Amino acid sequence: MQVTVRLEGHLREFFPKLHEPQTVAFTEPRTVAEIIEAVGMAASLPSSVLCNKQRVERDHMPADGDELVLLSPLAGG
Amino acid sequence: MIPGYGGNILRIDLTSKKASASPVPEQWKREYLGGRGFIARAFWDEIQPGTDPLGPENKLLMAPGPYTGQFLSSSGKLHMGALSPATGGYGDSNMGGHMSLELKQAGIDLLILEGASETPVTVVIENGKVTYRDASSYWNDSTFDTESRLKQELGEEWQIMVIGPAAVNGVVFACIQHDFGRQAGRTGVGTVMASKKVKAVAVKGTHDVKLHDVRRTLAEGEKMMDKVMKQPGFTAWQPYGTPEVVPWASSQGVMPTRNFQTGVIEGFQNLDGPTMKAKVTEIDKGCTSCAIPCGKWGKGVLNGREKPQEGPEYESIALLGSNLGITDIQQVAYLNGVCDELGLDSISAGNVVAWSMECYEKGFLSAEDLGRPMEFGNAEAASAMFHDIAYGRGFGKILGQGVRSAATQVGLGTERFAMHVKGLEISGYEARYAPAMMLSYLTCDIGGNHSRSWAVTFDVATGRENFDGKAERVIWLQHVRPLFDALGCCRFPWVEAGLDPESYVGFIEPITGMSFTWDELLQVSERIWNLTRMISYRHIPGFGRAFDNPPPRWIEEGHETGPTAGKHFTREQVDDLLNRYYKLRGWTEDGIPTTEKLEELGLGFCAPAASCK
Repeated sequence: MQVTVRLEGHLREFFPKLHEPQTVAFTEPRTVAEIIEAVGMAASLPSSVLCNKQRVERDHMPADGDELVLLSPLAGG
Repeated sequence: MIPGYGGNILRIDLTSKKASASPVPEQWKREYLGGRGFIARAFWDEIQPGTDPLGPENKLLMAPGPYTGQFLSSSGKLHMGALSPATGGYGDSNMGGHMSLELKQAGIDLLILEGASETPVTVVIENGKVTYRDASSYWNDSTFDTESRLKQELGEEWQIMVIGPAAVNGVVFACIQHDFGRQAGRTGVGTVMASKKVKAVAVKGTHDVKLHDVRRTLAEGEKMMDKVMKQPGFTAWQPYGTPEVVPWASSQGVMPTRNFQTGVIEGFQNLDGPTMKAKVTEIDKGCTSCAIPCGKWGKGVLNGREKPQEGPEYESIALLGSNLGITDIQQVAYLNGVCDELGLDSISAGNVVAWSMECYEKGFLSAEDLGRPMEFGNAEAASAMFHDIAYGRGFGKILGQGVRSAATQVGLGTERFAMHVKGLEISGYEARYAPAMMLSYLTCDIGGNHSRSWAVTFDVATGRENFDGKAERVIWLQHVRPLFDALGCCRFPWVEAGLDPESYVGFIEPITGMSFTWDELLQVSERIWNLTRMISYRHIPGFGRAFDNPPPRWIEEGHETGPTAGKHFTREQVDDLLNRYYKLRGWTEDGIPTTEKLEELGLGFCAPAASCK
């Protein structure tokens, strides 16, 4: 199965290899947390995760072809 | 004249009630852009060493920027500055809303309020023409009542800035409020306005602002608006505003809790964005030209009493919520409404009350000393203390002078947990084990504020124990983030909606006709940063490294709980961070810009001050 991972905000600066969306392949379904760690990031680092534009928790299991967007925490407020 | 500007410096002498206009020097536009840049440049010329922050010789400066109100998203920021009564050094703050564009359309790029009126006045500016209205009868009224009154008297089309009782009664962290909830909250700019006996400033401007290339500005703006609204970050973040970050902050141990005793709070879920949307928010509220209205208008509730208010934003949730041990979002919103109507900076107000709660908890101060029991989690007690602060009653009068002053007066070792840098109370990110964020606070030009460099994510992403790259990151952020303040626009589309900061370069030439590269814009920002450092050096005796100092708590104790339990840096490690930072900046070991650095940045006029002290 394949999942596309896209970073937003400061996360793109911290992980230049993921500056552009990256498609990752797995032999078996993985949780959002496992996918984040698979691309080299602590699962707790993004403030929120969207799966196909819907907010999901770290234990969500994306389907083949889904797009994950990892959002950087807000910077102030 | 370079296009994209209102055109004039409007100087209003409150003592003589005379006003005069003069053109903004063209060189300032190229070297300082506007907004924060004009404030800093004018500050150097206008406010002399030895000035009393609350004396008539201090000046209150306000400036929009070249991007203000133009066809790009979120361009409604107004910057203001003065010698700070909270810190004694360079002070500034900014706010959103609609005032910035109104000033620009009134032909004003820099407003200077100087002197002091004998009696309370409202200053009325219509297209540069200045008149005064007697404000004696409502001098001590709330911010909301004052703005409502003036809207009724003058008309809805007027934009109005007001101060509340806190400023009138000399609280050193009083705000200037606009648009019923937008605050220039930090460093006591409202207190300075009160010292001039100005209760409100009302502005109406109907002039067009000439642009270098209208069509190209519009095309670039449409492109940006479209891009912003299609960003995934926009759709996820906008419905909740800044409270979106609450769960992340608590999970990382960076949410100030019970006067920064720890960085995690049980029940943070009751303070997050979805909870606020469900329990507080009634409608979105945005600033001029904004595609991503982050303001949330709604009601706070405390023991059945309701209070209309805007927000609370993340910072207010952190300082009025977790830092006071309160995890009921309706109560936090109520306290935010109290601060807003009294004209208190919610960051500083939350800090001083949290400090008083810890003093009570540890037995340094009694209920009799404080006027009531001040337990963490007691929103009624916090509300009552905010009123005491704003009206100068009982222990509130001591708290109203800021946490540094209050702790000095009380003594007994309470200075250890007085959470400030340079006398300005620290904002809503706990940083004792976040080196880049700590360095951001220590070196921020106005004191313990988050807005110049927000680096917690960088710390978490690159390792909190690792110092490599931290000073470089802080310096980069201290140039990028304040650049928005010089341009007159909001940085949320960059960080929150995910636009590249470099995309802002494309507007400078169509708006002003001036051409800048991204690196040249960053050099303007570096120039302003060195200038504000020199301003504080000029005004504060002995200013230098000793003022870039963390609160003792941050280098003496770790959190009891959470992901960073037990961790903190030592004095030596903090010195190491500062050494790296000063070296990269081209400053002396005491943290002062060298003559060579000043001359390199076109700040040669500051050099005599650097070499003679």
